[in-house]
Amino acid sequence: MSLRLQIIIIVIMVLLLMHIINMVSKKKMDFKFGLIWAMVDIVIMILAIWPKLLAMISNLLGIASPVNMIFFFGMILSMLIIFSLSMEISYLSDRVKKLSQELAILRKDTYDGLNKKKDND
Amino acid sequence: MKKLIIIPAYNESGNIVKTIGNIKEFAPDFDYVIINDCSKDNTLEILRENKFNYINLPVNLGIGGAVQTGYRYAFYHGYDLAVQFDGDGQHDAKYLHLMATKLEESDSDMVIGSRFISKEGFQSSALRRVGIKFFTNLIKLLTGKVITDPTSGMRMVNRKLLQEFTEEYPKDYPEPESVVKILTKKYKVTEVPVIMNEREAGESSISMMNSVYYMIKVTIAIIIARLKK
Repeated sequence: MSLRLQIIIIVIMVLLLMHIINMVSKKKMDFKFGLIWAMVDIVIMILAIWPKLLAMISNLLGIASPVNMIFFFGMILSMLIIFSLSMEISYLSDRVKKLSQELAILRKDTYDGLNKKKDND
Repeated sequence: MKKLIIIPAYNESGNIVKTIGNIKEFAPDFDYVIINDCSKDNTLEILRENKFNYINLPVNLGIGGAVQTGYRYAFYHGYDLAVQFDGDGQHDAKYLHLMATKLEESDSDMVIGSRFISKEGFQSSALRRVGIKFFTNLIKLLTGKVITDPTSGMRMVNRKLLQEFTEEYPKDYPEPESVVKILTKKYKVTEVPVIMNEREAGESSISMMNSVYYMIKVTIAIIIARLKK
């Protein structure tokens, strides 16, 4: 891995990490998700800073070029995050469904109750 | 005995008045509730003007979510049985008493109105019949039970099942999947012959475009439903 590529990756990862921290502190991202992203960010940063570790792992996994190892790692981690997001979305849409149903029924019952009261008055 | 008819409605302005008329004529001892699933036409205005009993969903939930709203309503309001009934004029309220009697006499948990027992009335297109036959065979293979019309939207359940449906009901194309789910849980399902009409206006929830997805989704969902205890 060339020094130039190392520097580019590190700069991008530092900027990204700052952005993640900023988003979490502004409550635009849940701490839970911020943590996962920060971890991915830091792992990639460590590998870029310490190419020997990268070379060791890629050798172990039989990947010819250490740079490919970074991409491979990044892709696997991104896939894991996307997968967990799909699960999160399913969970959320289930809750939205239940809330909408409860709201609709509550609104109907309230309306019916008011009408009944009007009739009795 | 409190009985509720659940009518999911999405863009049914052309059929809904007739449907309610049919219910009031042939099943006056049943209560009914229409679930308006954010229709884009003037269904809501028609419901309001005619002072029909309806629930208006705040967001579009699709057929499964709309019907489940009805089951939830039935459960909260202490109904003893609930029956799903299409708002598009396909179903005839004449059969509701027959179904209710069958539910009680055969001690079933669910009674399905089947087009394919007496083989009279609207039989759906040939292609769809092939699909339905496939599901019948698949369900027989997986559960050992014969359900001649697993896609029928005319189904009546007792309080036990309407509580189950309140807790869990498939989102889209729910009929075959939920039948397998309850058969797996050892509930008793029976069928009665009914005659259905061809829909008079509006569009079916399953278009040609979606039918491939429909077959794949329902097949997988049925298998998963059988695996899950």
